[in-house]
Amino acid sequence: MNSDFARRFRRNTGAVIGLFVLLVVGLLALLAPLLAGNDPWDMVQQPFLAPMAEPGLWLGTDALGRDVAAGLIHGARVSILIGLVATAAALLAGITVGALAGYHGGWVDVVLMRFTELFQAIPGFAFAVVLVAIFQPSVESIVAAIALVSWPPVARLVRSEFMSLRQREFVQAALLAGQTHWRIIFTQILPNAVSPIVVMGSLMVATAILLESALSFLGLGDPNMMSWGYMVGAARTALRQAWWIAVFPGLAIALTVLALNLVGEGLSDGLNTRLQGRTR
Amino acid sequence: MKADNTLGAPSVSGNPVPVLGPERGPAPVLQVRDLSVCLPAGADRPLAVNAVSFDIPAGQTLCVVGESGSGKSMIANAVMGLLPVPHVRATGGTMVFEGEDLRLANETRLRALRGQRIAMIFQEPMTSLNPVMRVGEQLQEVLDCHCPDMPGAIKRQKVIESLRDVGLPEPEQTVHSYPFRLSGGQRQRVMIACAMLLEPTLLIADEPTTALDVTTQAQILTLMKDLQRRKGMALLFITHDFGVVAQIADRVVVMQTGSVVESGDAQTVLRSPQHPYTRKLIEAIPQGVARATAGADQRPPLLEVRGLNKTYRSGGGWFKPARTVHAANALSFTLREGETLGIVGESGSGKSTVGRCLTGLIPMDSGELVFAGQPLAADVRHRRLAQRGQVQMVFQDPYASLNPRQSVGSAIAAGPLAQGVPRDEAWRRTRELLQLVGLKHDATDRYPHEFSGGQRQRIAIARALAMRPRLIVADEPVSALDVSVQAQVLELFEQVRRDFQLSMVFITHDLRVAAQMCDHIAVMRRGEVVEHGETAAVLGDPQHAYTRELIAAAPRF
Repeated sequence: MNSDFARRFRRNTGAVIGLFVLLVVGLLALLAPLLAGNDPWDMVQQPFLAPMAEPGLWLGTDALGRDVAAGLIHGARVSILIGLVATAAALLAGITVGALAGYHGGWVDVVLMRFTELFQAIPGFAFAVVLVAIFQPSVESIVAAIALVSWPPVARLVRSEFMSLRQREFVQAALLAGQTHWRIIFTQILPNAVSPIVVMGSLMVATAILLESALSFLGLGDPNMMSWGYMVGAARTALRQAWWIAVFPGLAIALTVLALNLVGEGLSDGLNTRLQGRTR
Repeated sequence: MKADNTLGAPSVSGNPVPVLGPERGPAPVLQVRDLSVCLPAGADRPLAVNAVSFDIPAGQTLCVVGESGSGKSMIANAVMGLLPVPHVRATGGTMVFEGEDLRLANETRLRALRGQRIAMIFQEPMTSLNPVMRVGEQLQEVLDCHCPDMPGAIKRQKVIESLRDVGLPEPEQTVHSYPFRLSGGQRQRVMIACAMLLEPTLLIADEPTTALDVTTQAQILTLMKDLQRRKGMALLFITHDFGVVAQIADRVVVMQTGSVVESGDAQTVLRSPQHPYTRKLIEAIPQGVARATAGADQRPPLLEVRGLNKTYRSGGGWFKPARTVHAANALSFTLREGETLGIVGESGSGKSTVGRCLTGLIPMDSGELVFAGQPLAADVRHRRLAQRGQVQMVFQDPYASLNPRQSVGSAIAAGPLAQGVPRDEAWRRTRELLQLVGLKHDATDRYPHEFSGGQRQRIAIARALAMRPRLIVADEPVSALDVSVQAQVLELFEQVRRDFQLSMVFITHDLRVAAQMCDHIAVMRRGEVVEHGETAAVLGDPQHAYTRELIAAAPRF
């Protein structure tokens, strides 16, 4: 089973490359204090120092003389942390709502879905901006805002999966055996709905990283954490004089998001047993 | 076939009706010699078809018979050039069609032959037709690409004639219908009309009646035989059903795991099969001999059904009324302890609905269920826990009825555990039952995908038995299985019924199976029981016209 998964995943070259990029970003985030020679907030040299101009500052310095490379390495921490935590929160909310709505149907479904639509009716990014602005920018409020705008699609997906799986005969057999609803949801239905949820989750991490970058770019990032979006935002005014301040964090965002998308596609291939060439 | 119609095959212009070639004499239309088809690496065997040879002369029918996985459909696809190359391809042998080796023909040539000289009918009439295209347009497409120079009026005329040929009523109206307006049998007739439009010399039919009801199957078989006689074409007929073989075949080829084990004249093979595999297949066919009704009526009733009603409503809105289907209309019957009641009928007769109403999976609209003297709630969710375990169900599709992500052992043990049986006891019972249904005890840790269809159905039976039920509702439990496996599973049903003193409601479309399994039979039609009585009486001396029709249509030999 697991080796089949690995084989199908490996067949997707892009996914393997994506996984490699993610591993590098993850290592950067984990070992940030060891790898970065300087504190990202310290002014270590004169401002606007070009890359490779000074030993030890191979990506140059920004408008305040801070080390861009150190900022990049520490920014990986923020991006990964916020991406993972916000996605986990969104998945938890989305799966709960979707599972209840899809399993029970009827008025439970109607109430929960109208509630979901309430969130979908507000443009996601604008909603996140408002939430962060009201609750003061901090890691917690950013995570909460991102989770709040990203759970509705999960709820919709899980609901549709549950609605079709609920009709399956093994679920009916469990009903006949007198198993409780919770048991049926957790042992019969959820394991069969895991594949699309995992794939969606990997793509949501990418979206969450983009959202966090966009919020920081607008100056709504956590003021105590150096993030890629904040770096691009800060570099905006000096874009023509010092391209490197914006380009490197921008590249980091693009690469990470691309890698996550590639891995998501690989997971989708890997979890799709039909790709084996035989059904059933 | 549809795909290459839209591609526009090269024309054989000015010759709308192909003139039959001079080679249509005694020489066979299709001569297959040592045909081998390979399977991709990692399949269960290297060759799907292993050195198969046969001839089909004009005006004759060759049946290729075999169980699923025997490679019989691969032969049809190889002849049509429809194999999914390069993973599955013909690796050796020749397929000479009217003097031309199809294995060497390129795609352009094959496209010209398909539809024009060789036509094919598929198993599933529901998916073979384009649902958003009118029937007439679909048929005319064939003429559009094979005879582009034919005037439109003549094309329309030909389409209507072809529909009349296959016995569709009012062909002038039918050409304007969409496929969803037609029944399964009518759609299969349209597919046949489509295949016959250019009067091919070879018609390949891949299980064309498997998805149809027995009465429809009988009509389609008669139609194909009749068309074949009138047009003098060769017919390659692929089937798993010896009853169908008896009805239509001139010659038979019996296949087992890719190789021909026996071939010859249909009568000879059916009457005196030489190969043990053929003999096994023929013996496995339910004989339809009614069993003696066991133990009279003095046993106490287990389940009483009074006035069961179920109506489905679909569609409907503010301005148009909903479409209603009475799946069960005021049904009443009594099932005694240890008795097996067969519910037979065609698809859409409501027999499955009745089964699900009894188990409570579909709550009935009105009516009363009395189980062992106690009232039984209509909805399974409202039944008391102890009652829930006593009525169990075995489903039709053994692939859909087991959770692919749950090990077999925990799937069986989950039921008793939910009933409050202690863990050790539940697992002990699981191991015992797996042994009883003929599986090794290491099966507990394995997952459903490691088992064949028949084994999965055994697991499903073990799962039902683990609850110590008093009543099992079996909904077409063997119709998805091969005939030899079917016989074994039926035997298992018989055995557990005896050992556990079970009552059973056995839902089936196959009268032969019902005759073998049931004490009483209820014949259903459009939500009503038209005849109900002891098996021997119902099958031996049917009172209702519909029962007689069903019995007449059942394939036999």
